[in-house]
Amino acid sequence: MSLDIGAGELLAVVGENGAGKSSLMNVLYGLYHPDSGEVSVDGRSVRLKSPGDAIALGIGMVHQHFMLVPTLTVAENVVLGREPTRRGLFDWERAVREVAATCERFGFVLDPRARVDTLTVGSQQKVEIVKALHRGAQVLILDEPTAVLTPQEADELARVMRGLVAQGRTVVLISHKLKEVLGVADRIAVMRRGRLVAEVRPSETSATALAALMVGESQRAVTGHAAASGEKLPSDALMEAVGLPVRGDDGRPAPGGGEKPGDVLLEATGLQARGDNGCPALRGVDLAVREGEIVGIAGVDGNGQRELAEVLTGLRPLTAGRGTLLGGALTGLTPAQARARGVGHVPEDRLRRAVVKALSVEENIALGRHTGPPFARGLWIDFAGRRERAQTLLASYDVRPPEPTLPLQALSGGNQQKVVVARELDARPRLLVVVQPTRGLDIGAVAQVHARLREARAQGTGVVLVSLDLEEVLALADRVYVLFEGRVTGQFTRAEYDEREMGRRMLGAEQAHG
Amino acid sequence: MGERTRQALPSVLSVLLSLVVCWQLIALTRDTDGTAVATAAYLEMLWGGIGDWPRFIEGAAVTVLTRPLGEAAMKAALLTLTGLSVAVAFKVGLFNIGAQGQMLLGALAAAVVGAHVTLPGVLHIPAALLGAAVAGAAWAGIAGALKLYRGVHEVISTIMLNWVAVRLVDNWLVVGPLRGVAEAGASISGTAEIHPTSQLPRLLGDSSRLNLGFILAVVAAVTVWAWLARTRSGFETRAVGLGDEAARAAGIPVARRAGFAMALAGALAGLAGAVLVLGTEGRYPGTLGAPYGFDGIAIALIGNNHPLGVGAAALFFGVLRAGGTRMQLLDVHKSFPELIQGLALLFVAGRLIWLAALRRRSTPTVATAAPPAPAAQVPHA
Amino acid sequence: MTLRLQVLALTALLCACSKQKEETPPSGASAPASAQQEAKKPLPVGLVIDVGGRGDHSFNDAALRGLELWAAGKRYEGGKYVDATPDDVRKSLPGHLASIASTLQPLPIQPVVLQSKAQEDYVPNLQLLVDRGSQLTIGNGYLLANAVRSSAQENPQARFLLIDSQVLDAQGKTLRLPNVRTVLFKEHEGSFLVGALAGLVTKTNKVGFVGGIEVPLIQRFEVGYRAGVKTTKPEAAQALMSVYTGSFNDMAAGKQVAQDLIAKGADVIFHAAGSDGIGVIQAVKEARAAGKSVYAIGVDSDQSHVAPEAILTSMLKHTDLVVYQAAKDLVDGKFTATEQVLGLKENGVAMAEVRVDFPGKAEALQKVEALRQRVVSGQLQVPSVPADLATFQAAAP
Repeated sequence: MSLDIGAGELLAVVGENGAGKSSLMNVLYGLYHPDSGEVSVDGRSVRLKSPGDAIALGIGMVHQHFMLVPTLTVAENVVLGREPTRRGLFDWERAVREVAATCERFGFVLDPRARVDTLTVGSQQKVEIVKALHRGAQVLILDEPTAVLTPQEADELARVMRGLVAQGRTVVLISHKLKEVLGVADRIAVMRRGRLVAEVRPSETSATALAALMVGESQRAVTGHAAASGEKLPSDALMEAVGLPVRGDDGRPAPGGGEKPGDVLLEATGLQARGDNGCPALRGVDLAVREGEIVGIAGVDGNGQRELAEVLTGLRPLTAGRGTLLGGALTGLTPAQARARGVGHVPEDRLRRAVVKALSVEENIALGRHTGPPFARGLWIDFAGRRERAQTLLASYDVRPPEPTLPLQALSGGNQQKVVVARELDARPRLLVVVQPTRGLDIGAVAQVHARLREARAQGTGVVLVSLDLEEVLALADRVYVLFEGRVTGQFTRAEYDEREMGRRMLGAEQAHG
Repeated sequence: MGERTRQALPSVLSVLLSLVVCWQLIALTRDTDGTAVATAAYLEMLWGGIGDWPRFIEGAAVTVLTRPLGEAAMKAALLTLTGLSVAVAFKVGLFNIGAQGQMLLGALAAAVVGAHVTLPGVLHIPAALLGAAVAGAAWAGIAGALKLYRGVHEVISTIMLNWVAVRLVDNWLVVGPLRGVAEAGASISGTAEIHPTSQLPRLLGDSSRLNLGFILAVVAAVTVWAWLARTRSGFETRAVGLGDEAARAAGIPVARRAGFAMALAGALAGLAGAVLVLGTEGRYPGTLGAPYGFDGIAIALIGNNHPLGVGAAALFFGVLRAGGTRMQLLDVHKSFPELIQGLALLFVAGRLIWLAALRRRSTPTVATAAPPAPAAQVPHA
Repeated sequence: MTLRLQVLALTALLCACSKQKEETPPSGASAPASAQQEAKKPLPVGLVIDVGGRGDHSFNDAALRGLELWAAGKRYEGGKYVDATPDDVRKSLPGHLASIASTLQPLPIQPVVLQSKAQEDYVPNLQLLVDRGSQLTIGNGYLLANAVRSSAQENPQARFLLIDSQVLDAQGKTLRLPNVRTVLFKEHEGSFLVGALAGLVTKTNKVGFVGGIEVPLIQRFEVGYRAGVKTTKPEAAQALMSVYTGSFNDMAAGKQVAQDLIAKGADVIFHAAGSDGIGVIQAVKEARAAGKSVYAIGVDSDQSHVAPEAILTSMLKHTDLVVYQAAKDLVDGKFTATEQVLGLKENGVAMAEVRVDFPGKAEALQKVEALRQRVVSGQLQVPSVPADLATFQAAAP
């Protein structure tokens, strides 16, 4: 394939995960070396053998997973590797001044003295961008930057990107959210299976047309699989996964199923808990979840959603408040009790919380359920039972490669997530707590995860869906709580959905009634 | 099978490489006949470990086979137990540097139970072994408790507890309250001699010091392997070691698993001490100088922290070290077996650095970087 | 195919090797040769030294000197034996042994020395020497007592020499084995002399003793030393400061306690503490550098060379002579399994030459010599256990 990127241009590269966008960008950033072909900068052929070369050439990259040292300050992270020194020692004050100057020049609001682990994901992303700019990046590559942002933050990011382009910088945006790509890019390159299949201008195309270009054959593959396994996969899932409204006559998502309210699974009042840093993270949350509904928790990252999910799964102790969860108290809940009562958990930080990457796929499928059949017989592991169940699940969830003995880390992120979802749903939970279930997944995987969540709802599972992606919440949830600074600042039923209003609540605007 | 071979290969290659390096070193320290001496020294070492087959073939008594084999097996037993101790702790994500101290405590407990408790034979040996295991576990438990309740890093606490153990046992208990008594004027190093009922029975009678301790070590290795690989709690232990947060989220009692693994590590090291005391020494000697506890770290790493790998590595180095003493007959220094072991560890540990260096070397460097420019082109990939 | 060839080659090599070995001195157990029958071939004599190893300037080196230099007439240099000159032998002899120099003739023996890495190496090392045809196998130090017992019981045909300990049974009772000669020393007698000298030299009337591990063996040093000080300076005996470090391999501990003794006013310190004692000597050396007049008294070998200015004298244990005598008895066919206890009279212990100068040196040495003669002649019984110390009275010389 061949791709030109012009100076002062905002180019969007869209395509499924695995389409080759990331590989392409890693070639530009010097992480991968092309088997053949060449990279030219300013008409001169160059060989990028390391990110260092790329940085020297003015190419900066903001990865999907941030490359920041959490315990260092913003300024320290930005200057890391090229620290200003005075008499051989690190000159902290100068670093702060320099970073503050860079922030001001490009219009970022960041405190250079703040520790990175105290920042929201949105702010951390800005630190990444500032880091690249501080190193003199002329070309900035952003990999899926809006996946974790609120609509407001995403809008701000769009403004930042336009501002950079206006200052003559080049921005390459990798995304699969077609709506925002259409709104911000000068030019859109569509990739599929390692090839450039189209280059279009936003004015000449539509989201539907782009999606069709992007998905191409894989749409048939996904729907084909669903048909084969006899499951009802909403054909709209793909559209929805790329951030498009389904059956959107009036731009409003169609109501999902599961409108039959069942028993109350969870009822909690005044929940309070501390965050990792010891500060109050939940400051009095009232919550109820019934059988057969998906309850969305929306909010800007770092407003207590994660802590709420951890409280519900027994990972974090309550400091105040009470609740009833599946017939037992919420106070003093341990992860083992939560599991025993029927709580499933798809955590946000997959590699830390959900799976053990060095264990095999089948061992990970057993994790948390390893004490009983079919995974164990008495005190002993039931190898045959485990293998059989793993193979069934891998096939049913289309995990590739369907190899139960591979170490989990050999799978791609999307397939790892499928393993987690498969495991949790296979346990037939009565309440399922999912956090950011589709972050970093490709379209096919996103569609499948969404379909599975709907399927669980249809079978009576109550689902608590925490997502920073408001569109995902709106697409799936029957009711939505908006969290801001550990409090519920808004409650919406499907009929009341209003993206702008929710955005305001996410930023702290109060609601008259609950 | 292929996977296992791949995992064992770095250790095997490292050991081979260290053998070659030491061979070369021995040869270099000689003015004349360097290579011949080095080869002869290696053969002495081999015969000292697996039995002096050439002499046997020439008609020497069978003891020229059984004695060296017994010595090798005993060293292998000790290395297996301390290696397992380190490996088990490692499996749960803890680095047990304290096997030495745990071994000391275990040895002392075995010596005390062996000498000061009177029991019939069928009970005496299990009691002494149990005492050693409990003492070692308790000693490791201190480090475990400090880790779990106070957040003290186990490397620090186990290292310090080693010294506490040396001071407590070697420098006080064994020379003070527990010193063996002899006739007036006679000096005994160490504690009182154990009763015959608590001596580990010798498997080949008088022709070798090979005793029940070797069987014990083999059983321990297989049991630990089966536990880790085949049982629920072993699985939980591995999960905790590889990802404690995920394990916690999965409802696994992380602290209990870590505590148990640390205690088991201590018990294994304690058993090593017991095998030494009940098997060959007959008492806690004046000082337990042999650093089998520290060797355990090397054995565990060379054995890839796999219980059976640990057993294999221990067997190999047991042979080497039992035979190594014979190299002195050719005036080669007694410490070469340790050097071989040390180098092998270095090569195993340095493998990643090694690979990284090779990879970097294989990517040729390119000269000048063009000035920053806002346009990049990727034609034809 | 290739592999098999290599195996064959290896086997051939092995046979060659072992044949070669048959021809060289340490003949195998497979060909047990009576000493007298093959008088031309040197007799292998094995020595297992304890974990202290070669080069400890003390106990092990003394045994090695007796075996290698005096008995075999060899020097150990760079991992090899070379023939020693008579001059080498003469230089290694302390002054009081000059009279026997002529009797130290090289014997037709071949030394085989094994160092031990750990306690549990003693038995296999002794066994290896026996298997390799060692006609006399020496265990140097009481740490080897158990190992010598079990080896001697398992190899009744082999001869052993155990230095510094009796053979003890499981209950700690003396056990006589028909093939083991044991040698004990009257450390108290030698310590008595250095104590007497210390009493004559001290100006502060405070002297110190640093012991290693508090076992009867080391207590004998202290008791003899106390008796000596009591003889020449009773008031110093009252104030004698005695400390045990609890180890034989912790130089820092020895240094620390010695510094403490010096701070409390001791100006002569006798050590019987192995490597800890090297720390004692260091502390004394440093105190001297700081202007204090302090002396240390060495032990086992003449330790004067460690710090020539600071060492008043040393209490010698002649393990070298013991080893030589045993080797000579072996060659002469007179080796017997006796229990020897060697004191001043038998040249088992001695006070080393005093190489430093101090006021009244000649007179002091005279007095010590007078005491020595009284001990040798049996007029004076030096106590060896603390209980006898209170009743001990000796007229000042």
